[in-house]
Amino acid sequence: MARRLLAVPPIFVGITLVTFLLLHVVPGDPARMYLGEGAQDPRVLAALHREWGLDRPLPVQYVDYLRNLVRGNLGFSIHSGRPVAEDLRHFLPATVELSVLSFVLAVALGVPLGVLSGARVNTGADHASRVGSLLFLSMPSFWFGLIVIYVGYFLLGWLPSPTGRLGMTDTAPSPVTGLYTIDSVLAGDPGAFARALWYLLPPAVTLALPSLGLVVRMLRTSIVEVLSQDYVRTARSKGVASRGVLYRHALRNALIPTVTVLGVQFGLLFSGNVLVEAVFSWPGIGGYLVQAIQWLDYSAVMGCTLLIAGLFVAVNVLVDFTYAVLDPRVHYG
Amino acid sequence: MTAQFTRRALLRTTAAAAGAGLATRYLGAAPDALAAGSIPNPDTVFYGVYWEPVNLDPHAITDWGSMWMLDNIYEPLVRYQTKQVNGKTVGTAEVGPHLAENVTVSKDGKAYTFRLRQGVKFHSGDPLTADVVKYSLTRMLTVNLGPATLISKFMDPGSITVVDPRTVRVTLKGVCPFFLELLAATNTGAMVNPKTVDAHGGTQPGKFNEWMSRNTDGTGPFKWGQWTAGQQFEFVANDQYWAGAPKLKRVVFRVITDFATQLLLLKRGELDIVYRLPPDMTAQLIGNPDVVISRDNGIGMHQIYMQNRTKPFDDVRVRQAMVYAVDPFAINRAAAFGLATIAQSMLPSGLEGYTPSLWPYKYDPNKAKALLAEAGYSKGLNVSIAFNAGNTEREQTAVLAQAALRNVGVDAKVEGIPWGTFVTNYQDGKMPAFVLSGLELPIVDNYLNNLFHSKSAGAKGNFAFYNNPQVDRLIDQLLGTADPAARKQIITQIQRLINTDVPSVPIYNALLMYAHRSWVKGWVLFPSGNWYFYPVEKRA
Repeated sequence: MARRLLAVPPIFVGITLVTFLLLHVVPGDPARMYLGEGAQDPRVLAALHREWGLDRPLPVQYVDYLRNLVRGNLGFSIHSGRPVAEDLRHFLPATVELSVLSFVLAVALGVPLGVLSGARVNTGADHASRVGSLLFLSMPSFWFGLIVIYVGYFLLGWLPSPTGRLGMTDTAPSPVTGLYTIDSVLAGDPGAFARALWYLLPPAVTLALPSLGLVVRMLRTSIVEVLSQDYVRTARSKGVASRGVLYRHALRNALIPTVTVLGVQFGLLFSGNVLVEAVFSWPGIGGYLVQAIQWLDYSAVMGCTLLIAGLFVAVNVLVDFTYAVLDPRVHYG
Repeated sequence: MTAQFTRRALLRTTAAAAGAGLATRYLGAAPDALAAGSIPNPDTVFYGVYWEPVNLDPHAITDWGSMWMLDNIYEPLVRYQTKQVNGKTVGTAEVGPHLAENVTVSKDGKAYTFRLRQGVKFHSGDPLTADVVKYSLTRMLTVNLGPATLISKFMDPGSITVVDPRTVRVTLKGVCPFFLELLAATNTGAMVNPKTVDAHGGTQPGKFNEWMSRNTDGTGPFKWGQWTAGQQFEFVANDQYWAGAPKLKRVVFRVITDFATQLLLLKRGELDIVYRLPPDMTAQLIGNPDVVISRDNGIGMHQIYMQNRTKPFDDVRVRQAMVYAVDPFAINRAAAFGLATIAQSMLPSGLEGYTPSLWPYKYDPNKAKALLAEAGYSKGLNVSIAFNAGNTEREQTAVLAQAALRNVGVDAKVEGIPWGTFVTNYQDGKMPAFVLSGLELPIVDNYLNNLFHSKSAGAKGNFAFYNNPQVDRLIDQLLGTADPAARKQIITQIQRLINTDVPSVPIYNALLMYAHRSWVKGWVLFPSGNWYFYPVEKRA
């Protein structure tokens, strides 16, 4: 395990280097973005270049960035006008709430459906869940989001307005964690909690569907495969009830590839919900990152990349631990 | 209340609230609920925006969105006036007294004396005095961003004299016919409270003030309210406003980056006003009795810039051929849904001296072909037209121009380029042709100087890198001329020259366009792009 953790710092240095280079390969000048579309004064432009260190050689700029990073300084965002660290703290909770809920939905619905499908191959239930999961997997989630909004909100008026975490006249619960669901509980306000969940639900379901489809398909395949293994036949011949065989023997083994996929999916939920965030006006990291990229906002893009990379690394470590829990043969010395 | 949060209780409240939400929402959604004349939240306007201010320091902002917004919080001595046309209030580019009760100009046109309005107070309670004016103008000159760089050619801090507590005189170094127009812009003319600024870090050259970039203390009818980044920011009414409290209690700006979502929210009456939806969406609103589309020509041109320094556009015949080849009406129909006003000059229609009768062109492919042949391109020509990826209006313009050019034997490649690269490329003159539509202050001297003077080539605004020494001379001459008749003559001369040279292909006047619920009253557009919430109210 220690060896795995030792690999983390070099991974991060690599990520900063690649991101930094990619950002600077794109032609464009952040100072001009900052000054706007119209006429600009070259003296002001030059002053900004000096102030932001853009007039210095790339390697020097990179070393400067690393030096600040080590001191915990992520730099200043030119498109928001705030320190990047402050921005990340501000936008992260919305993304965390959305990603976690959609992940929970994908697992809570995907695992039972996958087991059902795998245990009853070629029945009606299996066909339905296979077609459904294929549909969810192949449908772009932002498009599904637009349909949810158009039908659920606009035509029927059943769903909350696509105005992010709050309705027009709502106020946010007093911030403690920044997670509205948790803050409302801390404030002892059940109404605010229900509202937070209510606004969270449509984007979370939208975001969960592709992962849900993937879980169902993965799990079905593994269950079918595991059910044909010798140890399952042994268990059956011992007279273990088929329920017990399915849950105690088959599911546990079948989950291993699914957990790997889920790990990747969780990371993707964090970084890949840009379009879903946009259609629901969800004020998360995705929208912030898109803005940052458009503005050539180097520090902000670096900050987001590091954050997402950190999450990926953390989730992968967690996945490794989960293997050990699921399968006693796996253990890390 | 310290509610006991057991899991069961939680589920129960959630289900109940969700159910209640469903019920009220469903009932509230019935169209007749709105038609019955009940206006939701009558003292609050919900404004859908896709941007957020970068900075709230009025002397350091350079983007239009922030300037228009801050003009409701900070105020200048003089401001754009309205006039009545057929019983309707319309905004003009003419400047008149605002925080100054009156302005007198000396005979030589150099000394401006401002008599201040009485009873004007900052949100923090301090009064507006002559010292405040001197401090604010000095601060603008010290920060020296935006139009301040232009104004500082005519004055320095030494030009400002406090005559008495209510009177300030500015003595310019030379005649500046557009001095008051420059002062009307937020980022030059805004009055700030010296006590507040000095208590929070003061003034630094070329830089915004950290505290003022997040907080405000102006004299305007609205104060800055809560700001939740990525979600919303708001104005709160200043009940102590010198002209009386505004009709609205709050203006809530909701950040909705997706236009399709903005459209749905407007149709459902949750948003009251949105800025510049894409044309296809605006088209869906035409004929909707609940929505008003309000449009005006801004000071700017939606145009196809050409790189005048390099082949093939260094040849005036090729540039003229482009103007003849492209049908602006077709582009207006497709890219702006016919809502824009076709260009009939290199100058936008709202500027002093604009004379459409001087425009010699009309759509004529045969003439275009003849000019191309004359320039030696009878066998055809390859060009490329760029736009910033994601801007559908510019994309449509480029694509339609491509089709039109094919008719005259010009093979145009259309390229969508990411925003950041696009801006740097056009400022550095790296693209042969591109579609752009900027906005400028309603000052003809400023417009001509930025777009057509060879000294402004590149980042300063002459993105075509146009260079005509005769035009340069005339622009320099105009900058020092105050007499209206003489000015008119010079502007006409310049217009003839740039109309002949056509450094770019003007398509239509920059389009300022808002869609708002018909219950929003008092919304007035100004050619400068400004909007003011002071006279706005919600009523049937």
